[in-house]
Amino acid sequence: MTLRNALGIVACLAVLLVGAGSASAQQIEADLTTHAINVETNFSGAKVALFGAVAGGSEDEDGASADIIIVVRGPKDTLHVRRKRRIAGIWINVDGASFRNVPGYYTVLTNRPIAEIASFNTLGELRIGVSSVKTGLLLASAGEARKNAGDYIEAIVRILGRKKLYQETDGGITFIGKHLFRAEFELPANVPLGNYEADVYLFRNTQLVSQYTTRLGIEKSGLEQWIYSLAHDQPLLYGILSVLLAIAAGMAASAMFRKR
Amino acid sequence: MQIYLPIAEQSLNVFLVLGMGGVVGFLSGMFGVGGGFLMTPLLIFSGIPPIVAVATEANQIVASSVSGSIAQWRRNNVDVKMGLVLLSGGVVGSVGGVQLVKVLRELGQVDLVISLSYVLFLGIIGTLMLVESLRTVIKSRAGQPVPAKRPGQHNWIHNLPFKMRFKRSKLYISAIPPVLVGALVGLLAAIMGVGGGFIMVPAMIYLLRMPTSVVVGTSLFQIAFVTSLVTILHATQNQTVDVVLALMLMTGGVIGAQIGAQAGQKLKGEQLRALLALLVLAMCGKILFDLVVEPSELFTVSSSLGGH
Repeated sequence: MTLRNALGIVACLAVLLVGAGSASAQQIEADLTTHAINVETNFSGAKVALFGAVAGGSEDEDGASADIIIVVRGPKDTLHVRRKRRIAGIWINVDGASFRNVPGYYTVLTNRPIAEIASFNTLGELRIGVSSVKTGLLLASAGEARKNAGDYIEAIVRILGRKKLYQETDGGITFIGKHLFRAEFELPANVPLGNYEADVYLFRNTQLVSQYTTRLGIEKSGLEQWIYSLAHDQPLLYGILSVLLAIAAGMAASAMFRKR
Repeated sequence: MQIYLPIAEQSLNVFLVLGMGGVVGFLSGMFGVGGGFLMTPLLIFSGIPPIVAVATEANQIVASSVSGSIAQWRRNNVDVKMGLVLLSGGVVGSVGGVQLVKVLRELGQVDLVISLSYVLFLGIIGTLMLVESLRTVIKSRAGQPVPAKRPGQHNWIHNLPFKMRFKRSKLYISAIPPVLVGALVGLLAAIMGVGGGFIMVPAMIYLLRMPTSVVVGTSLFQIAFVTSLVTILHATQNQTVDVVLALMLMTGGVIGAQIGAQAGQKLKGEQLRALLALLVLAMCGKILFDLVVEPSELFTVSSSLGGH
C-alpha cells in the first residue's frame, strides 16, 4: 500500500504542476490509486485510496479554508423492499415496493463535519448525502408505492448502511501539507459490481468552487467471471457441467473407497 | 481464508465450508442418511440465500448419491426397473417443484416456503427417529430381543390397477404408488435441496414392501438422477447453482463420509441415533424460532437474488 500511496502522491504532484497554469479553471484535481478492481476467488473487500490537490491550498489568500466532500456512488439497480408482518404466529413478507435506480453503494467522506462545510440546501441541490438519495427515491416513487415509500426508503438506507454499502462519515479526508489531500473508502465483499464514480467537491466559505470526477470499475475476473457468465449466458450448459463435475467427483470418491 | 462464491455473490470462510461438508459427511457416513436435510439449513444459517443453498445442495447430492449407487450397484442391490418407475414420478415432481420455486421467488415467499418445509419434515423425521431409537434402547436394556417388523401379506396397494412385475424386488404391484412416491421426492428435492431418502426408504419398506437389501441401492439410483435433473433445472430457471460452493461441500463431504463410515462400525448405533434425532430436532427448533420470534429487522431488501 505504501508504494501505491507514494505513486499516488507523485501523480498528484504531477497534476498540480500541470494544473498550475490553469488553476482558475480547475481548482481541484484528484485520482484514485486504482481504477479497476477485480473480484476474484480470494476477494474479501477492498480499500481504495484517493489523492488530490487543491489549487490555492488548504487556505487561500483571504483565509478561506478549503473544504472537501467526496461522494462515491455505485451502479444503480432496482431494489425490492419487503415488510414482514405476523400472520398466524409467524413473520411473513406481506407487502413491499420496488425502487428503480437506487445506487447500490453510496459513501460520503469529508474533511470536517459536513454541516460546517455547506448548508443543507446547497448539499441538497448538489445531491450530496444520503438524505438526498432518500429525497430522490421519494420523488421517483409513484402511485400506490408512494403511500409507504418513506418507511421502505428508510429501510433501504438502514439495511445497506449495516452492510457498509451506505456510509456517511464526518471525516475520512486528511490534508497532507498545504495542497495535497488523501482519503480512503472501503468496499465490502458484497459490493455490487459495475461502474463507480467518485465526485470530489471543493467548497470555500460554504460555496462550491470546483468539482472533479474520477471513475472506478469493479468487475469479476478470471474464473469468477467465467463461471458467472456461463451460469447466466449458457445456463443449460452450466447446469450440465455442474452435474458432470459432481458425477466425476462421486466416481472418484467411490474409486478411493474401493482401494481402501 | 475467505473464498468468493461467484453465484451466491459473497465470500465465506473456506474452512467453515469444508468443515460443514465434513461434519455432515461424517454423520451421513455413520448413519447412512443423505445429509441434504442437514446441509441446506446449515448453509442458510451461514448466510447463503435459501434458494442458492437448495440448488447448490442438490448439486452436491449428485456426487454423494453417484458414489453410493456405484457401491450398491457392485453388490447388485439396485432394482433398475423400480428405480425407473420412481424416476418417472421424480421427473414430474422436480419439474413442478422448480417451477413452483420460480413463482414463489417472484412473490417474495420462497424463503418462507423453504423454512416451513424444513420445520415440517425435520420435525417429523426427528420425532420418529427419537421415538424409535429410545424404544430400541429401552427394550435392549430390558433384555428383550428387538423384533423386526414383519410386513403383512396384503394391503390396499394390491387392489390398484397398472400392475407391473419387479423381478429384482420379487414384487407384482401397481405402478401408481412408486410413481407417486417418486413425484413427492422430486418435489422435495426441488424445494428443499434434499435427496429424499428419508421419505423414500420408509415408503419402500412399509408401503411398497420391497426387500430391504435393494431399498438403499434403488433409492440412491433414483436420487442420483433426480438431483441431476433438479440441478440442471435450477441452473436454467433460477441461475442459483453455485458450483464453487458445491465443489467445496463435495470435498468436505467425501472425507467426512469416509471417516464417518469407519466410526459407525465401531460405535454403538442406537444412542448415537438418538443424538442425531436431537440434532435434527434442534435444527427444526432453530428454524421455527426464526419464523416465530419478531425479527430485529422487519424489512428485507433484495436485488436479483433472494438474499441481501
